[in-house]
Amino acid sequence: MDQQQVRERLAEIVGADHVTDESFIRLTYTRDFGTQPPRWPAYVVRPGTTEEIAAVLQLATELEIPVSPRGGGSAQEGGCQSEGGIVLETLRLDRMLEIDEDTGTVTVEAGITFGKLMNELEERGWKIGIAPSGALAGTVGAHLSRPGVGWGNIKYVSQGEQVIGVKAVLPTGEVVETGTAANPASDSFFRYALGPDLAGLFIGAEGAFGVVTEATLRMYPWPEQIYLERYVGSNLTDAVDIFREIALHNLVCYISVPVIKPDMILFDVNVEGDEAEVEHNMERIRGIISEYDTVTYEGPEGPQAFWDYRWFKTGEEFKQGIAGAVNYFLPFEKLEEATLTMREIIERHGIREYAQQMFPEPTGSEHVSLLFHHPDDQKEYEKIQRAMDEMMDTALALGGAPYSKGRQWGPHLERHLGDTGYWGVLKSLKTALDPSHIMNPGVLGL
Amino acid sequence: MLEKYRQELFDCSRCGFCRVWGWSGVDHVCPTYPFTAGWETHYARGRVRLAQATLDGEVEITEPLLEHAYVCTLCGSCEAHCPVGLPLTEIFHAWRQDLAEAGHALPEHERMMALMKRYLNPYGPKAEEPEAEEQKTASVLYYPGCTTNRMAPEIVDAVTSSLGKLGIDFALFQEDTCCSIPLYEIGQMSDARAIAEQTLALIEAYEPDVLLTTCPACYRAFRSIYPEELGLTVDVDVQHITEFLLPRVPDHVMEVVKKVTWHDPCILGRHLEMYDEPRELLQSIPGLELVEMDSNRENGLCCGAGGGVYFAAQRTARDAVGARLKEAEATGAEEIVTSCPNCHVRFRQGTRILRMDMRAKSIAEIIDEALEAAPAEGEEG
Repeated sequence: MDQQQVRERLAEIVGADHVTDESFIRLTYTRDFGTQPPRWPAYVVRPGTTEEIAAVLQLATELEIPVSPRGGGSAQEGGCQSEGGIVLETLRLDRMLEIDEDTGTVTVEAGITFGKLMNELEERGWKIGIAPSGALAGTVGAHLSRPGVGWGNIKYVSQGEQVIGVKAVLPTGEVVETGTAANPASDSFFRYALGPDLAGLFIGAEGAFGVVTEATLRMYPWPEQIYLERYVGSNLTDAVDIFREIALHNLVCYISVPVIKPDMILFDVNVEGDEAEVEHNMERIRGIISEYDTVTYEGPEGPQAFWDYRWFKTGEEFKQGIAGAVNYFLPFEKLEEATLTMREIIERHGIREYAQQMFPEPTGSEHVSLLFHHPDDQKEYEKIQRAMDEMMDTALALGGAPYSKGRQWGPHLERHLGDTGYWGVLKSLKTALDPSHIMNPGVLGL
Repeated sequence: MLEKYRQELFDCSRCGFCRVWGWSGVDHVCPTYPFTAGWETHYARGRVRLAQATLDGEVEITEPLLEHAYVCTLCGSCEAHCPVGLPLTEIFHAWRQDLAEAGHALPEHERMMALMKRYLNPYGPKAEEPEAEEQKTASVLYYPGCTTNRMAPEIVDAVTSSLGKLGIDFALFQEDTCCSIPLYEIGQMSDARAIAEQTLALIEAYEPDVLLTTCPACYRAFRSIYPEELGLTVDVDVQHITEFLLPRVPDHVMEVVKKVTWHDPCILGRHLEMYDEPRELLQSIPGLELVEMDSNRENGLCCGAGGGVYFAAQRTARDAVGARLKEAEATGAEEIVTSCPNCHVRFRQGTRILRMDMRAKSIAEIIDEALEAAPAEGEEG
């Protein structure tokens, strides 16, 4: 079947307006927000329903054409790229399906952006637990597929933790609902139901096992108070001890550590709840911090100004250029070693602009390195690629768990985990669910 | 021209914040994106990539590519919401100039260009030639502009009536010419300059001290584009009707009880940052309640017609205006008021098509209503 015939078959499914093989359009789908090399899809499709996605995947399996799901295209590891296959963009699936105030859940289509979701909930006095930095562009389906950390990491852990159930399309076109919604007589109100947690198969899987088309997430009453305070530390050991203690006692919604330099660690704490709860938690946080004379109080004004326009402000960081990101989770005890090791690698490779950051979780932290370059600067880009390769191997050797894997981490994961039972099970599952190996080949190293 | 912006063009971080927000009073950043097929190339991030590819000769310029490039109203919303601070409006305009210089144009734009060259007007010849009035010189010259003349004569009537009530000696520009902004916006700079020269010569014949405009596009053309980008000297004080009337009207207005909402025209607002003057003018009218739409000022949605979109993608423009009108209707306003004839005409058509009770009014008409029962006493122009 030639390219035109495939396009026509796709057009029969999604409509001619929602499929393209125009080269100038495909050009704009060759990259994401990061530094992976461009990959050219043969087609881009924009289905509007779960049924259309099922038909696209059925066709792709029949014709053995790879398919890469894409939300807002704002991830950094190349997970939504496709070389010669179909990029399946989910942005037309952008509806709020149900806000259930009795169960405290919200059901949405996978292509809804966080900006829209959060705004609609806030108008009704509700909020979700976690949203990514790129909330204005990023979609729910893409976020939980990574598995979705962000603003709210300590109290709400990850988007995966917030999922009650998903509706997903398997590569063969079958539609599966998870949790209580697997029972046709039931809605989605409890995740761990009826058998194994099938939602977990799709969380963090980056489309390797299918395409998430709907998700039911927990939602929470909008807190009476949200209070932020900023501190600056000069000693990383002390700072990490503080993060661990605050996280252990679950005193904050999140701690953000956007700047880690050799002599400066800037961090904000965000506390939410009723007035008494906020006051109580802040008292305990200040008590913890007061034990360390390497930390100074900066006050609430800076982080509050950030918070008020937070989803826009997160984008300002990238004035420094396109960022190659090496993000992974580590236990608290390894954060200092990782920071110093990564800094040594970055500087040895002569990277001109970079940032190190942490976003603590309850049991460890996301550790972030951003290596910036101007896309016109090929020499710097190549240096960054070499540094990132070394950093990813180093992170895995340290026991790190990459956050968003995409195609960037694929070969490294296979190299480090290839002999493990986990990897064997993963590959068996892949073969069982995706016999033609069409679903986002290359992500996770599969 | 695009080469001048090479650094900025490649500074795009590809964050995608220029598509939709759904947050903080901004539903969709790009006013036309929701009413297109929705490809990456239908909003700023993809257009930046195409502009990069054009600059480096990576892409063949085809008519479909031009359609995607030109379904952009140059409204400046993506620029106002770009966290990296890219001058996106200038970039997209520079891109259009390069495309035009290389001989590329959409057929719809070519038709408009031909009309401009022949009639100095994008709408072609008038159905009936008006009776020629004797041209007079005057300190204040009111220049309605092509869209106002052809499609919104009620604005001309309101302005002339208001100026008369205020006792201002003025002349009405009689010729049916365009300021050339429609050509400028699609990047046809040499044709724009040629038309501008002729229009400017006709204006100069009136020997005005003040050139009064109601159309924000004309205002921007005479005030900044002619001198800064077309190399023409405009030796006259160019004023927009809102700034002209603001110091003159408040003492002479009567109560007008109604609820209205103000639509910031992109050129008057995001491009020229004139947000307060029209609001102050409206609020100077006793009894008039001004309510804001969810998106206003720098967040204000474009009507969808600018940047040549009206000529090249009328369906998209029509859908975009519907979105803005629904936002206005949600305020409970009886009238949607603006100062741009392009927006006004789309609003007038849109409210009729959508069978809305809300009416479209120009700010000139509102002022004229308020002045009606209070003739001014001998104020000079």
